[in-house]
Amino acid sequence: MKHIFIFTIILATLLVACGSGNNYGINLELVEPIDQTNDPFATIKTINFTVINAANMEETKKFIFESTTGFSDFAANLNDLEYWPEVIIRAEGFDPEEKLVAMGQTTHLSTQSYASTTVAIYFAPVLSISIPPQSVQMRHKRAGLKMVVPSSTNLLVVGGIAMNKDGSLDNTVSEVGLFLPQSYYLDILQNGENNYNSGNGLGITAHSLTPLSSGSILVAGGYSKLAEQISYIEKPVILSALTTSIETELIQKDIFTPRINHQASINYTEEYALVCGGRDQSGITLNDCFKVTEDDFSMEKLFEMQQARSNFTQTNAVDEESSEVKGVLFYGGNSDENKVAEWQTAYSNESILLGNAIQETRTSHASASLSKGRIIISGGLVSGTASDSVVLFDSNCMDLETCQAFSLHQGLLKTARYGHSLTAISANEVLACGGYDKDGLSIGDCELIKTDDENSVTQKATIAMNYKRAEHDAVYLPDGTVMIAGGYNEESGALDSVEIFMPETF
Amino acid sequence: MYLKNRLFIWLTMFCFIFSSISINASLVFAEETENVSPLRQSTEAVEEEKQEISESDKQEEIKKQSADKEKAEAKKDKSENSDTDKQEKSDPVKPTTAKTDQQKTSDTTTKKDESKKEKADKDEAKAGPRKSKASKEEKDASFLNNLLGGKNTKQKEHYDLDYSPSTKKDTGKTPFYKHWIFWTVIGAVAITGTVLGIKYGTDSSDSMSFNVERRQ
Repeated sequence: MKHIFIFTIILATLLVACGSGNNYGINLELVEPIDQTNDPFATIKTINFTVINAANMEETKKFIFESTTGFSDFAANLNDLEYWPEVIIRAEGFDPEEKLVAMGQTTHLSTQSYASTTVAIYFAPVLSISIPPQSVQMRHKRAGLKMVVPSSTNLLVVGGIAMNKDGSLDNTVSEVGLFLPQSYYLDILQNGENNYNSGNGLGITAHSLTPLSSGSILVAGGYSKLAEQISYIEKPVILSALTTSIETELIQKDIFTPRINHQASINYTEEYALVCGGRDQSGITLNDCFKVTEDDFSMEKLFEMQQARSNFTQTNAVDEESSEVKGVLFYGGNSDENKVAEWQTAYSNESILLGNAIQETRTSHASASLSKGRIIISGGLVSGTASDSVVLFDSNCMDLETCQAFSLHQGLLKTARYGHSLTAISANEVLACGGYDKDGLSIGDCELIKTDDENSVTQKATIAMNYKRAEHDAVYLPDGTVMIAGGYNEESGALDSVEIFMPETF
Repeated sequence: MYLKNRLFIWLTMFCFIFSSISINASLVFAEETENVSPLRQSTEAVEEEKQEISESDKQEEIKKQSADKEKAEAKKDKSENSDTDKQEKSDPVKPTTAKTDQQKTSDTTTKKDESKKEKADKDEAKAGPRKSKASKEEKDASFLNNLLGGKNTKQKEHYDLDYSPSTKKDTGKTPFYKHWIFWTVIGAVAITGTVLGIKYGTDSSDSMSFNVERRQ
């Protein structure tokens, strides 16, 4: 009797466990551009939805919806699918010739976390730059802003400065914007107890933003301006973004020289941020490099660059196999053409000048990290003139005689530019947007640059933006698109607009 | 039923088998604890009973032997009585003192003998019972029985040392792994593992769905 009773309980428990299944339902919204020239539904005949298992990208489920009357009131249900804990949902629109004309996808979604919520898919024509809905517009017009993506769920827009049409500077902006790709809304965060800029609340520009692996952000350097009063930011700040507000913590060290036009990078292998160079209040160009440890936010001087640099680039070279930082390339930003580049190996406390480097003086250029330990540098002012050249650096060739570490590609850009942005969108592709041309006027397009394994570089496409802009910022979003925000042009002065670049393929 | 991965399959199988074994074990030991505890108590009683029975048998045997001896001694006494009476009559005081001395000596020797016997008994208990010794003991027992005129307590001690189960197993401790609570707890843990294994190892239970609309 006792045996029967106990085994009945076991059986009942097992049956309950097997039978108690959950259905995780997620609502998806197709967010389309507001500019009708980029209406993604105008020419499509079918929409394919692909549910991708984010843990195993080979596992996919495809659903096809066809319409002869258009998709003005489109609604679709993808029900009772096999459960995957983390998914990506991709939407692709095809024209009658079955050519891919529009697409969009979610970020990595945790099925359980996002159950019963609404998630956005920005759906726009491929290889286009379009304007998202008003929900993504910034509250203040600004140039010299910085954007950073500390995690797959949010993007922060920090600081900037208002500019007049004639290019004169107005006040700095203290606003911190939080953009959530999953919902496609950009909100303004309230300051916590402390303002992020040493308590003066006047805003910040010419600063650096470094995402730390903890999700916090290091804000270093920069200055604030209110009317005619300009003050350099003295202490670096650790900024933590919460849902509705920001928390800040000052790094209480006096060893850091206040500076602008410096650079910062994150060594995520050794978990520290590296802040280097720039120009101090006296106009002196600096060569010191500071290390900010992620654990306790302690700060110490790590080494001095071989050459003082300002308006230079500081970029990580990432090892292909281990995904670790191999080293940091410091390029340009000085007036000595024999000292154009230097290199700090990841685990060393010094940098070395790179021999056989291209001899030039390049400033106000942009750089981005590519796959296989390579770095690409585009445009800038070479000997004071806007450049249309691109430099490719291959860290694997530093110690080899069979290949050159640096290769210069003259005339690659359709438009010579400086003060532009350069954003990596895949392992071999970068997007150079906006900037000033040879005449110092803002540019209204982006150029897609592609490399291959043989280190050849080509200009693949030129994509028009809706606004000319320079001194803006652009970041790669977790949904595979690129957000281009703020900046300055001669028609409007500082900009509050945001544009989204949709690539040709994810 | 779609199983997600092999780890969960193995976990589930292991937990299920282990839970079955442990539940069975807990039931077995539960029964044993219920029945065996009184059983052990009754075993002691049975053993004591057996011991008493064997003691009474032995005592009867000893009584028989002593009766035979008495008869034989009575015959001897008859023949010797005549000589003794002569001695008593010739010296009426001496024999009384002599008898007193003799009694004293015999008392001390009896005590010595008793302690010697105790020692011997203990040694024997250590060495184990032997047939030849047993016959000697029987003789001693009958002698003592006669001397004390009743129950041989030493003999009982001897049997207690050799055969009594109560002196050895009176600790009352059951090994923890034989306790039903131990196996019940393990069974409960194993069942939980089985349930979790099945719950997370199968995804026929969980599903997902997506509803897509345009944001207006």
